[in-house]
Amino acid sequence: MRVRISHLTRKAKGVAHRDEDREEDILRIGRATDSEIYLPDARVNLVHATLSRRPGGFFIEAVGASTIRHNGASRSSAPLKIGDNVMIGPYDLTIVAPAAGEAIDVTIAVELVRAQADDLVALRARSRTSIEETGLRKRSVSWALSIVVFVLFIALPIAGFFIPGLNEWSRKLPVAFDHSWDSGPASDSHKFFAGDCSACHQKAFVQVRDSACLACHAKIEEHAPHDVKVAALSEERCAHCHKEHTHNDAIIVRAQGFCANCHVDLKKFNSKSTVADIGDFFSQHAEFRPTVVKAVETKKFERVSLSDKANLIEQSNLKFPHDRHLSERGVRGPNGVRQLKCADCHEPDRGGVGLLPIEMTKHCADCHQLTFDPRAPERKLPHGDVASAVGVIQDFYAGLALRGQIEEESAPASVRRRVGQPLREEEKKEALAWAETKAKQQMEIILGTSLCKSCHIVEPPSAQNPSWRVKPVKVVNVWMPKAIFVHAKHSTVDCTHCHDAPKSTQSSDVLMPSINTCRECHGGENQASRLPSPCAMCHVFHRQDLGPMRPDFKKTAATGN
Amino acid sequence: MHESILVYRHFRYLKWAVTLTVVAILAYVFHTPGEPANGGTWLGYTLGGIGAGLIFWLAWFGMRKRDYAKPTGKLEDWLSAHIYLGLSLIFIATLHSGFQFGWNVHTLAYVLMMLVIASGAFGLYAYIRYPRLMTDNRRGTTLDAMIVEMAEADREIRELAAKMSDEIRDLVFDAIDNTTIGGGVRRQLEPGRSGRTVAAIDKVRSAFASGARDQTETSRRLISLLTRKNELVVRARNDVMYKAMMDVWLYVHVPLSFALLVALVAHVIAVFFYW
Repeated sequence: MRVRISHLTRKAKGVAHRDEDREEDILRIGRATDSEIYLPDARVNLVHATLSRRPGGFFIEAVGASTIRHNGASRSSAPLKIGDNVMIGPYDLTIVAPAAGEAIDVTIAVELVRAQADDLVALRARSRTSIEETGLRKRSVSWALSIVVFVLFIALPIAGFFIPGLNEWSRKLPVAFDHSWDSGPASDSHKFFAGDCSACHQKAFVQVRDSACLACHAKIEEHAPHDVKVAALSEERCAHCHKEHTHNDAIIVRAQGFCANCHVDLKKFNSKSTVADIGDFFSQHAEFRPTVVKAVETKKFERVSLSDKANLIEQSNLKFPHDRHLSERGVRGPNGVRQLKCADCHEPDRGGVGLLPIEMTKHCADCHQLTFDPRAPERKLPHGDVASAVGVIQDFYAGLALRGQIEEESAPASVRRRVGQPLREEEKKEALAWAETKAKQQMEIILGTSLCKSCHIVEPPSAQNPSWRVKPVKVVNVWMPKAIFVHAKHSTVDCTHCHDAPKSTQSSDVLMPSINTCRECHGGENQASRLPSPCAMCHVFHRQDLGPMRPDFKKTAATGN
Repeated sequence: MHESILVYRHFRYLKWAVTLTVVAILAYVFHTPGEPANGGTWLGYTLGGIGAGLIFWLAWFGMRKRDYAKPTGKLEDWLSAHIYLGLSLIFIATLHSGFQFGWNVHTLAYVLMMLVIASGAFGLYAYIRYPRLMTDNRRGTTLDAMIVEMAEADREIRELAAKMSDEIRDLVFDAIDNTTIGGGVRRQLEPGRSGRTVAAIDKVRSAFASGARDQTETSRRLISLLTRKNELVVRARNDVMYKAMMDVWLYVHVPLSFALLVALVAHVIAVFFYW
């Protein structure tokens, strides 16, 4: 076939063309220099396609993996007709009808239509060489972050405070508006209402007022007696000492210095103070001064220092030698010998704080049975009521006399008569007289010598006082009412380690241990080798024995100051 | 920028910052408030006041930096003090917190402050480390000159590649068309790597070993050009990385500083609003 290849070049003043004619069976199209249709652009393959004539006409066929576009569509081969367009790389090939009269089968116009792009421009376009070009912005990000922080942490919480109901509504959200302001968890005891900030923080930019605290703690007690009121204590805000939102323990002040600041020299605040100066439990604390009974009848109690041995005597009107009850040989009782332990009589109370009072009927009566006549071993005298006891004795012997058949040689015949034999008038008087004498004799023994007197101070009838009297008994149940001592917490220690009961011979002994016994384990707040024991371990600030600290609370709540 | 900003005026501002920090630590150690240490004790308020004052003053550096008309003090003084006093904030603010942290605006301000300080510390590190590396890497030229040189090499490479097989040409063209300098933030921060260009070199090299005799000269020149190009690519990418390292921290430092200022105001309002 004869083919004319017409290379077109567009110029400002029209199109120039350079023609070459070829006569081949197959024309190779490519950038290889020996191609029949030579397309000298690197984007064209060496042998890109072939053009051939077949019985049906002209055909173009891509070589290998080359791609061609025939009239805009990707093909691997295509028949060609006049007017068709084939794109090979950056070239357009157009099939043109041969000019009339020339011996040419087909003309192919070749034009480079897509020149190689400028590599520099392309490289620059592809490359972003500074952070700025990546689209990161300082100013807009600054604004965005600032606005988010402002809205979430300033605008919403403040709006919630001033717009009624808004904060309450926000508590339904995962995080309430003003909870981001919470500087730390509320103390455990306040947690149940801590979700509502305004329960305490009632007024903006005003410190939590006492009225908020007193709404619940109206009865909170005073610390010092009212006549020695210390301004620093009674006029300070509650929250001055009770710190919230810092640490669960901070709500109650336990630091030793909090107490010692004043108590190390209390005279500075109150010249009439009789309270001993205390600075530290281990190094600066007076010996204990338990409260002891000095006179039961006049209800006289006295605090006596444990170091004041001469005065350290309790006048309880009770006779009770601990040593004999705790003897290693045991004590003899109706059921034989029994070894007593402290806990047999001293039972802890329900809370384990103190010990239950001793009750005669419960703790003593097993051994100290109030029977009084072997003829009636079941009969017992009532305890704690002398008049009734005397009556029981009198009635008992009157009854015996009335019944008769008393086998006592000294008794008159009227009393020794057989049961059922009636008495004459004189015999009745005789029997009654015997009964009275007998009762008197027995009372001398029961009250005045053995039964009652073994534990009590008994006064026989006298000219001034014709009846038997047992002096009332009072034993102090709590030696140190101003301190808290929990027995249960000390259960690992033997009772006798602190209370020297096995050696106590008198009930007047005060078996309270010295402070030095405590100091075996307890030290001052900063002691490394002892259990650090600040004042608040044993003492309370708000004393239950004093009245309310803010008696005028109703007034302060109303005025809000 | 060089190390002398640290030794500026014989460490005058370092001494200030160390004094402030030591005093704050001693005060914290010897302070016994009778409650857990927190921002609400007198020392807590004092440290908080100092910290807040410092933060606003440090932020003012951003204004001072642009104040060319009526400068107050030398910029070196400002920068040196900005660095050292900024670092001392780590101690002041931590002691102010009493080590109490939570999910709240107070800890948010603290965290933002620490991030601002950390980004600033990175900036300081970058300004000490990278300028020298950058100078060494540039060898007296500039990034733009490197890019122009790369494009020139590309043109020549294309001409030579046209004389090679289609396979080699494809590989070489692909390398040229897909080589980028820099890119997204992550790409910019990565050290210079060679990729497609090296693959092309390897291909041309193996073709060279077994190639037709008439192409050996072309192959040799192509390898040489591609190698040159690759070296330019790696250097240009390193240059971008050094620059990015010195720039990128500011994109954290500045926005977080503004967020911190607002969070700090929120912190103070929160404390005194719910006093």
